[in-house]
Amino acid sequence: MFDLMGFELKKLLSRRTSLVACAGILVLLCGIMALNIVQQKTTSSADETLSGVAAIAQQKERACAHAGVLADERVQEEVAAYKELAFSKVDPGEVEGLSDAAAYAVMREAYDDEEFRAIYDPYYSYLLSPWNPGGLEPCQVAATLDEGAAAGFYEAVADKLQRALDDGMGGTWEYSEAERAFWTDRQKEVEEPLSYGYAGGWEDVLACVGFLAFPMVAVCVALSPVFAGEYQDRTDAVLLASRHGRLRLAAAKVAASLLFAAAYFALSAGIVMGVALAFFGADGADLPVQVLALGIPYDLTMAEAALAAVGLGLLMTLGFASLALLLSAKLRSQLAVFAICAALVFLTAMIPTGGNGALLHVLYLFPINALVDQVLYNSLVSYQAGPFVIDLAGLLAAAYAALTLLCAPLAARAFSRHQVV
Amino acid sequence: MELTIDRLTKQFGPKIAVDRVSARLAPGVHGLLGANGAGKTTLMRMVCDVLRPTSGEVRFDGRDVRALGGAYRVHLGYLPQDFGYYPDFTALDFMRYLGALKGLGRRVARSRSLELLEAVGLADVANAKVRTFSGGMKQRLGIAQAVINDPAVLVLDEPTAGLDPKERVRFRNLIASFAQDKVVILSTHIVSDVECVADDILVMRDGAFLMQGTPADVVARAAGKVWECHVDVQGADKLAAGNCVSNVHYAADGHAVVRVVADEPPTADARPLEPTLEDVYLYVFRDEARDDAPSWRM
Repeated sequence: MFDLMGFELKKLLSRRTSLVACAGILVLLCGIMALNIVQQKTTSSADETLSGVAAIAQQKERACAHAGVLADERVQEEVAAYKELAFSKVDPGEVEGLSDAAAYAVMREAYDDEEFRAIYDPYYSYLLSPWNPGGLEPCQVAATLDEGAAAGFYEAVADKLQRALDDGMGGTWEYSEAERAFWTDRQKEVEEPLSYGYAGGWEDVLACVGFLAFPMVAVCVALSPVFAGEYQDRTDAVLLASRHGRLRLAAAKVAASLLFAAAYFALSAGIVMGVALAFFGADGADLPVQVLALGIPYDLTMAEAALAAVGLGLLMTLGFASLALLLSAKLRSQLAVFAICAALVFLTAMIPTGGNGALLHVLYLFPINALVDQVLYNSLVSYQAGPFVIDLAGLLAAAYAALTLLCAPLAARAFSRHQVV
Repeated sequence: MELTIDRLTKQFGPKIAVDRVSARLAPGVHGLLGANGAGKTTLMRMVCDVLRPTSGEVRFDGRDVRALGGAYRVHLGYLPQDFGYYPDFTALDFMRYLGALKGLGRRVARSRSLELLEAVGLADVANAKVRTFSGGMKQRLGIAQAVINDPAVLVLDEPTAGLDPKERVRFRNLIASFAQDKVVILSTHIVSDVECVADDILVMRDGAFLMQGTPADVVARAAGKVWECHVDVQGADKLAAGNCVSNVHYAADGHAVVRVVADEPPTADARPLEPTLEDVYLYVFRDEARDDAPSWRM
């Protein structure tokens, strides 16, 4: 069996098309990740534009300046300090009721560069987000808060979740009572108080995890000839007429293919994670995922959230690999196998939903739509079947595991029953 | 050991490719002769259990090969007609791969591969990629893979197609050397391939066996039907138009010596000749383009 797997891997790795596709995607990933570093931009305290690693260092310094536990008292003090700063030259009433752009213009005009940068520090936007109904500048949110409001920081976080559930994904989805209970319970599990700090590397991994859809397509290219190639090259007759040419060979082909898919995905994920963590730093692995957004209803650390997203990517890759194998065993055309898989990966990201929540929920099951940190952890995507509710991540894991467990044996079965005509 | 083909039928939609053929094949070389489209390849595929019959069965020592599955295939060696190769494998890799598929251990597969590559004259290119091989070299590699498991049943479907005469002779000798104590089915439309090595000949046409027997038995069916006629050039053309002509030789003096296979003497001065297997083949398939079946059905 291991000998056969070795030969099947050799076949996989000796096909020029597969090699070109796989190597090309790895180069593309390296390029994307390099651009991701190079294109980082921020402004220094001396009002200089920083880019690349200098920008990353600046972002880290700013985030670290606010690192610590977000206890109610601290939040209350920081909100009070912010209000003092933001409204030292502007009256709160001047920004209330304005559009965000107009409020921004008022603040920009009223304060010098240093003061303005302090007011627009991303940390305050984050800190005030539980009270932000959406579309307001942090100063506008602060203007609406009275003296004691900031004391109920975690209540505001909980209220924000309820508002999001009421909003129903921008009015496209009506959450059932079971779904509301599901998300509310999820949020209750989040340990309080939360901690804030720098987790740029892990944030970048989550931001770039969607690019792992590319290796999925490369895997499909590489696996499309596993069975169909034998039919096209007319090697099937000799294989199927040999002692182990049915069950053991089919199993070896499937095992070698999944091994290849997993290894190639691991290499791709290694590039994404390696570049992100090497340049942004691996700090903040144990910070809560709420560093990304306070409303995230998952009790996960940043490292756990990033690894879970990559793990889902692996499951998706194995699912698509198995689907490609099944199509390869059933169809004679390698091009058709590739076209179907590529369409499922890429075209599903281009289908307009027209505000149809049900369609959106279906499209979230495909890689490019699903592997987005905001969708995976912060969009409250849930599915209900009877009394059971499952979130997007859970359904993705179950669906792609099922796809793998279903398609891989069916592919082996289809090959072992193949008739040489 | 015996391979039994029992009322084997294969139908593709309305077309019957193999029509209730039966035969009992003991050890020896069985030449399966037939024109292109006679159903030989379909029959071979069913014998090798890579194509499911519509009805009937193939039995190995009395047991249905489909029920035997791997236990039958362990005794099987198969060289298909259009056999594909893995161009990026070396000859040795290819042999080791097939050895593994046929259940040989790693060491046995390697030593047997080297031994067979030597036997088929490919030892010096054992580590060369198959993409660099000529057609003849690929066919020799094909026969080597077919016998790597020392099969009891060896099925060779058109193994000499596309080979030059020298390669064909070499290939026939290889087959003869591997055929000891095996049921060898050699399917071909090249008469000389089976004439030299077959112990038994099956002639197939339109999906059915027309005749079976030793080469002498089969050739004897054409006794009294082969004639030599001495005619002028125009006479030769006339004979060719109306008869099954197996050979025309133009002599230096301008007259033609025509070998004709016919039930009756085609000319008054026709001289009877000893038939050959080629004469039989030509006679059986003389009306391939027409619908009327020959009268020699078994």
